[in-house]
Amino acid sequence: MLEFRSALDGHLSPGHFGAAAEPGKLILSERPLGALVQVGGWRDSFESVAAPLLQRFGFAGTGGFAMAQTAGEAIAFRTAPERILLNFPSPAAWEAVAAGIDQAATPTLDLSHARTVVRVSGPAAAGLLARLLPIDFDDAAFGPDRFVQSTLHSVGVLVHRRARSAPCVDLYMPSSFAVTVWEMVTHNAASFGYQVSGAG
Amino acid sequence: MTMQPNRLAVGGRIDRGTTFSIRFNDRDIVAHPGDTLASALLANGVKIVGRSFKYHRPRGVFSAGVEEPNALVQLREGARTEPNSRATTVEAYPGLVARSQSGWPSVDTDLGAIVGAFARFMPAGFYYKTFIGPFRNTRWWMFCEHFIRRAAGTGIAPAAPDPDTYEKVNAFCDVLVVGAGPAGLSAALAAARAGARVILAEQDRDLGGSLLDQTVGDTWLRATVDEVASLPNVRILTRTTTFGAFDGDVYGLVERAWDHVDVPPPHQPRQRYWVVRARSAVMATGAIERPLVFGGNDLPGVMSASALRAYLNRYGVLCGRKIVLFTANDSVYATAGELARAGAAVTIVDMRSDLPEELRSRTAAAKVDVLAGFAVVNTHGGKAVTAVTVAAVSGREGGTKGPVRRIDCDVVGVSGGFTPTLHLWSQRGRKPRFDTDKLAFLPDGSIPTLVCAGACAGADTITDAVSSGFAAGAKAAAAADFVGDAGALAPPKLADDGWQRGAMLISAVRAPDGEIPAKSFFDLQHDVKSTDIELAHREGYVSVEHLKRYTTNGMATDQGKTSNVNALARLAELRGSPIPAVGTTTFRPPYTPVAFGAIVGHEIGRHFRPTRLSPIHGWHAARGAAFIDAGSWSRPRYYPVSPGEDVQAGYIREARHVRAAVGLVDVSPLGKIAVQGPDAAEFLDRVYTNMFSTLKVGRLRYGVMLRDDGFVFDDGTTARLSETEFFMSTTTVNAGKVMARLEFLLQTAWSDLKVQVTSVSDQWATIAVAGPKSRTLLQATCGAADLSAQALPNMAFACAAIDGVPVRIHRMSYSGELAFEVYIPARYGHSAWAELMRVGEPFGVAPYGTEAMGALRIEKGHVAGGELDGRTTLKDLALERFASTKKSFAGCVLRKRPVLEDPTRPSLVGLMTIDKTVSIKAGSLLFPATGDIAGHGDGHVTSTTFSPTLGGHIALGLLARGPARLGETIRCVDFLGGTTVNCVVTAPCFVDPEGVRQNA
Repeated sequence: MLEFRSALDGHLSPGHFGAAAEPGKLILSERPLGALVQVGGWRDSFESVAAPLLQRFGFAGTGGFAMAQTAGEAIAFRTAPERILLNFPSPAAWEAVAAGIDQAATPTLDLSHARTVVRVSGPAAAGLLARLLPIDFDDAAFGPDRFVQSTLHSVGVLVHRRARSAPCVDLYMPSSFAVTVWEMVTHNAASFGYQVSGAG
Repeated sequence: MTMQPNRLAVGGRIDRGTTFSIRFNDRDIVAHPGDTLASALLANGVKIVGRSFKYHRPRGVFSAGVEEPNALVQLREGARTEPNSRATTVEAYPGLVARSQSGWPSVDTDLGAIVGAFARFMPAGFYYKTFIGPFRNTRWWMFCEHFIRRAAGTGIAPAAPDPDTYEKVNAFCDVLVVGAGPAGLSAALAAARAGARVILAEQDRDLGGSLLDQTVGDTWLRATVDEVASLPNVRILTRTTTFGAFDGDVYGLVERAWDHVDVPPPHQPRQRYWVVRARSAVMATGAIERPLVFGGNDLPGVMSASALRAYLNRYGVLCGRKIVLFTANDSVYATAGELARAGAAVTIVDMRSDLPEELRSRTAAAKVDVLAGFAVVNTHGGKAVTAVTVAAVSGREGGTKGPVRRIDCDVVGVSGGFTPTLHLWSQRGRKPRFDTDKLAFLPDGSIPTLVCAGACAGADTITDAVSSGFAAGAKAAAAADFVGDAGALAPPKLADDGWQRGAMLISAVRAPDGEIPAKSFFDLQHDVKSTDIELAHREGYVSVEHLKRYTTNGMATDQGKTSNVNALARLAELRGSPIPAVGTTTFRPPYTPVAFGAIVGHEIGRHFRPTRLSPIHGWHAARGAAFIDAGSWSRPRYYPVSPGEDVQAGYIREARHVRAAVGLVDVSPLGKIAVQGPDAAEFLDRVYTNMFSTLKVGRLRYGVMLRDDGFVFDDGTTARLSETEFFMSTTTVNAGKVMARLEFLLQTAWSDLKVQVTSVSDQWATIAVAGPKSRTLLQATCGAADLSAQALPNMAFACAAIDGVPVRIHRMSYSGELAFEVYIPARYGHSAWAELMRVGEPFGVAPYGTEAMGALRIEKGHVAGGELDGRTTLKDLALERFASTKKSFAGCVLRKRPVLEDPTRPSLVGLMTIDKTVSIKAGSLLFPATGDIAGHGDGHVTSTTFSPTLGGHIALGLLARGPARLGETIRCVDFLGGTTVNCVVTAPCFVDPEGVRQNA
């Protein structure tokens, strides 16, 4: 089997970098993507066709445009009126139902290799992200499970605030831009002092 | 270290327990934490800090704040040096090094001052009238400018790269409070108590504003600051200047985070650029004391009266021992008493004759002399003021009369009133109005989300500032929907004279002879005198905006903070109009100078723009590839096999190898778009000029798309994966544009189509395998898949696997060789490439870069960026056979415009040099073999290369009536390089025109 390599391969070295800081203040890590699938559809039938499909995975329905839905470890982002991005912890969950989907009614697309996910967590996460994104990361404005599509260093990214007590944000970025975005993130993280870890 | 002759034994807010040394003009200066460079210089008795811009007159510290027009210094050294730094805002720190920006051989003895003798010959507009106008269309000014600028002494920009870093920060709040004086603190408190998220931005190191310059009010200040700082919903930014107010309630702030040290701590930025998005804001920016204009008002020792107070009470510096305070308002009286108590002999020269008894009795008690109804007409002294001449005031227009008196002094403090700081208000597009009671420009009208408070709104006492600030904070919070009870705030208990009671506004003091003394300066930074304003008026520059540009009054680093009002008052006199009719200039960002580094932030060097990397980039780098930027991508240009191999040798070797054996090129940057839906085929029929609905599943088709105006937009190959799904490829450079256009068409013109387009450029790594041994290599790599010509003919694809990973193999050729494109899920791309290299070793596989790829495609006559330049049609490119006559498509109507059908339009040809050792430059113009070389010729060269196959230089070009001129000798003229190359016109395809190799 060919080796599976992250776009950030060779760029993430575990350890502490930048200014001195207490452990856990700011943690950067790459999150593995099991399966990332786009589910599409058409204006006249999307709700009626996509909602049952999502319910099979445990989601309540197609959801709104600013709040991610979670079902176990799976996450659904409604990224456009007729588009939902599904993130599964493993490909198996998706593959179990993928074959039976009517592609004419609900076109699906595997984007598992097209995105790289970087997690920013710790008390200084909001401070770092404020240096990268024009988003209000205050809890009241961008609380748990909120997501938004924005640009970071001129690169389109999906920003997802994870539903955790400690500040924790996942950045979904196009894989070809992953290194340049990672470098911009770490450049700005240096003034806080940050820890690179295998899992955030 | 030297003594500090002007430092008082007690007083001030400096840390007297710590002493350090700074260097100014190679002299050691004693300073304390809490000092500014200016306060340290004054404490150490330094009078002359710089020389004036035009006449090289000696200049000393004038103010204690951002308005400083005189004391501009070259701060720090080496790569960290910074010109035009205001000594009044530079915090002193151990090891600080600063120099005067002009003066030769020294600032104290400047030979440039000889210019002053010719001042009468150098009026406003001097440079234009002398160096530019008479010598129009020559380089005379360019020659002179170098010397004039050197003489002016405007500081030196650093030549080395800035070693420090800068940050950009986005911030959001309900209420932004600009300024943390009495009004700003009160506003922040009210808004925060109401529950709003507050950002309080203060340009100073400390909170307190004008209260820091006083000896009373500390209890109130401490309590208020403590409460504000204790509130969790308040973020306090000190050393932070709000320099810009923009549409949408966006504000630009610069925090000088580590400007107060020589070298910032590791990993810390020197400055931060804050972009604050506020739901509402309070502008509590205070007011700046206005100078009075009189003869010799620029001598070192002439300072603003409020600055004297600041240096006394904040820094413990008594600037002089014999002080004249020249005023036309009440504000200096408290200052006079404090200076007298500190040991100075103080005389107040007040232009007003009818002073309140309360002021007279206070000054008498403080042993301060008062000359009411008098004005300072002139100063005396060479390099610093030693005396003033005063005369009785006549009328309210600045006139004087009668005998003059001489008063010895070493400092003159001036106060012509105060000018509210309305820059941010003005930046929001509002004009201020002139208030004839307060003799100042004040905010006019309202901005729902910007409330003015304190002195900038006309409050002239601290009591008024506190109450107006508190009300403004509550109002701003309410505008952001926070209506909680803010309670009340009592003002500090202090006596406060204010500044507008019975105040006078005059443009300049006239001598008893009725004339304004020659050395009466309106703009200290640019040496603008009354005669300059009068000249501008005589020459018709009667608009205040024209006056500014003609005289340069109000330009440069201080932007007229001290000069504008006096100058426009003088213009009003000359026009015979009231000040409101003259108006004031429009303020634009920045309020104070902002370092380029702060604006640039982290977008510098390799972070100037994002860089895209292929999934296989690591392999290329490890192999030692030479990279080239191709759009946002970093791509291997070639792979040197020895340290000395240059790109020319490298690409020729690589291209030759592909034709002989097999090569791999990473084409992952190609644009890739998934087109899905029941109407996908119909959509492609409309987008492409040729038919796609007839394309069978499993096959590929080359397609061309036009812009609406009929010109070629992009080309690429599309595979039909299923009845409802296509896989489109685009050129690398147009990937984003094509995607945007497809989305646009689907969302606007053809919203009835059930089609979804998604970029999958990052989902797939793409490897082109080209050369006569390419099938052998792929077959050996993919094992079971049948890649024979029968099973996989040209323009078809097959699904296969490399070491267990599913891949798709498109049989298509860009090089003209037998070739395939292998699409691999991106995270397996690196190892798939490595596997192909490993398996291909017995076949002699070698990687090749973009240069060789370009050479191969030119040999084959394929069009690319040079030909698809947005100005060519299908016909121009010999692609008209791809225009379907059975259907309509985007651009099909306008491509038939007569001008685009003109048979003389340049069209695609090949060019081959007659002398095979001579190369052709891309962009060369094409001319017939004989005749004049003039005009634009018959066309131009679009792409060039050395052809390894033909052993000579070839090119593609667009030539008028090209297909009819095959075999003709023409000249390729490179006007930039000054070369002419003779070529033979050929068909565009140089290699294997029958396609035998690619169809093998």
